[in-house]
Amino acid sequence: MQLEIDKIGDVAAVAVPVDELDASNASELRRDMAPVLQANTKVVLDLSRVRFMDSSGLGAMLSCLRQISARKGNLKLCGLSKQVRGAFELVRLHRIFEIYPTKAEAVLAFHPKPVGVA
Amino acid sequence: MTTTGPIPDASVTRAEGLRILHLEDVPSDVELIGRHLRGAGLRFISKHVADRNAFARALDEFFPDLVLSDYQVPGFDGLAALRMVRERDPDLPVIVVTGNLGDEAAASVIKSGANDYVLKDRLARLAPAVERAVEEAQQSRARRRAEREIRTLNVELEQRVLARTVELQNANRVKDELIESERATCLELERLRSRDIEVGLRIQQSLLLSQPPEVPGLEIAALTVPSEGIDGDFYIFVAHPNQSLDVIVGDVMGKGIPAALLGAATKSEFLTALSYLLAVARDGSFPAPKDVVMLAHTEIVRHLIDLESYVTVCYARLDLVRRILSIVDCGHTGLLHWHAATGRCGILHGDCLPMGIREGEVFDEISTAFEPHDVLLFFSDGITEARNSAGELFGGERLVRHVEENSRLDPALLADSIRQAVSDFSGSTHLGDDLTSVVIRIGQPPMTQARAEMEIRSNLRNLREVRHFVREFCNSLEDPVPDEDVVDALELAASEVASNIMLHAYHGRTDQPIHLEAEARPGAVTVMLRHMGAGFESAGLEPPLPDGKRESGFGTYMIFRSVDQARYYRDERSRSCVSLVKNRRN
Repeated sequence: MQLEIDKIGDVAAVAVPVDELDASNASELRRDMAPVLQANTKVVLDLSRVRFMDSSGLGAMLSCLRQISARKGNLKLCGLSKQVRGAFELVRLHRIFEIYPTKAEAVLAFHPKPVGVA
Repeated sequence: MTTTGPIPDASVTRAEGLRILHLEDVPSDVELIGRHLRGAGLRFISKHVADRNAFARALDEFFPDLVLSDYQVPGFDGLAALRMVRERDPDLPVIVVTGNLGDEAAASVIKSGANDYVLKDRLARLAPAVERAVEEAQQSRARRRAEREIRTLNVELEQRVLARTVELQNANRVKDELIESERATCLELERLRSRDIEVGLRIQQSLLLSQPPEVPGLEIAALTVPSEGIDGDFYIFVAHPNQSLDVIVGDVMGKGIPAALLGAATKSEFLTALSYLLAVARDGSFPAPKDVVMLAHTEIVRHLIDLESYVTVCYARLDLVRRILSIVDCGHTGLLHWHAATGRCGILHGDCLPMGIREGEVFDEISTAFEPHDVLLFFSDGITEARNSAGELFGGERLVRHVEENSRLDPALLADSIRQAVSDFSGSTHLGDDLTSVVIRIGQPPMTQARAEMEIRSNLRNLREVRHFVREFCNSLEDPVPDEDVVDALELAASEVASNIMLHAYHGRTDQPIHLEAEARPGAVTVMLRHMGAGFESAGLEPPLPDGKRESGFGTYMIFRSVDQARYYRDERSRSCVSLVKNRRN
């Protein structure tokens, strides 16, 4: 699948370009994410286009988290629809991932503003 | 001192005759009196004394049998002599022989203890007086001896009574201790028995009595009132997915924990038989009740015969689609059927033997139709065999009348009213036998509001179609429109089931059929996915919560978490079927 990667400083923000992530395309996402996770240690996965995610999609998310954690990197998620968030909560994965409402918030979370700097 | 006859001394024996001590100061009188006595034929020896000292000595040494005494002896007198005699021997007869005696003196002589008095000028009276006095003395001595013996005996008796009393008191104390210890034993037994009863009740509640299931189109109530403790009454409900319900009601002969355990064993045998027959059914149909009974019986008959027990059973299947009731009645009380159309009751009876009577028994099924609003009542013989104080049975007819009069009550209230009626009838709340009843009222068959179906091929790309199908169907519903969460959850579950079918049942083949079916009823939406592939086990087990360490395998967990009911079974055309039911409101 054609991943859209937006480099903001040292953070790679990746938009998942499908509206439904299920058993038919989850392994494709895994495959295509592998090089991104190799090249970056700070990754934001933007799920705002994804309307539906099943257990295979959740499996792909976990796989990404594993790979980047193994390299001391960090993965943050953003843009979860109500239904996708529901799927995460169903299996308690919302406790394992760092989830932000928007891409900007997720990116900023990698670089908290230094205190006292205007 | 003169003597007549041989010289008296202590060695003289009674064989020589009566020994007479004679106090007399006039020797001629001694002679005269002796002659008179001998003349009268009296055999005797006598000792004659004339003063106090000689008299006293003779009393001690001569051992007289009789004393004759003059009233007036110089320096001595008859009354003093009398006193001397009486001091020594109260029974030694004394006759006063005197020349003259006034009335007053005579009275004092007799009062002082003389046996008689004879005047010297009437000596003819003397011999009879002597004989009488001697006889009286003998009698008196015998009486005294007897009295003495009686006294001795009395004393002995008293001592023995005292000894016996002590013995008895000891025995009583032992007895009291025994009673006390027996009472303690009884209390302990009572405590153990009530613990038995408590354990038994727990067995009954947890193992023997199932909760009636929720079956759309049926109202079910079950009531068991244990009598003293428990017995082996049990019931089983098995709701099948295709709108039918099996009800198995049983009663084990006997009472107490053995009966309860046997009930539990029988119940488990039924469930084992049912699941075995379900598993091996080639055509996907449900085993007939008689086949379940036959198999369960085959497994348990030997044990029941060995234990000299038996179980009465009523196995009933309600087919809600065809409205057919089939029962196998193994010596149970039958099944009461109230017909809404006529308002009358009938009792359905089979004629099979109870389980555990005969090996190789063949069990037959009988069938009847039922209609909406009919009432079915399973009951134990504790109801029909309850007796009143006059010894009459509650009986089937009374039960029929009661149900006819109360048929409009809710099942739970009807069951309770039966309990109340039996209790009122028997005049006590203390039941002789367990009272078990299961009341089922047939409702209207569940109304289907909407239905849709489609068929897809087993290509993962078609998962999208599955979700679309579910979402479209739900969104088409009105009154009420399903909650968004409900639609999301059903969509997720259906998608997970479909991908499981494609990946596992069809092993990745992409051209196999999957049939989708959706149905809406007022309370819930059901989605069924049917396929011809292998059934997969995971649909029957709720997997553990994913812990984040695994990257796959959440699917089944998510299915169970998303819907209110997920069930795998084979349908009537032998297709594997997964049915998902989601209540329309969370």
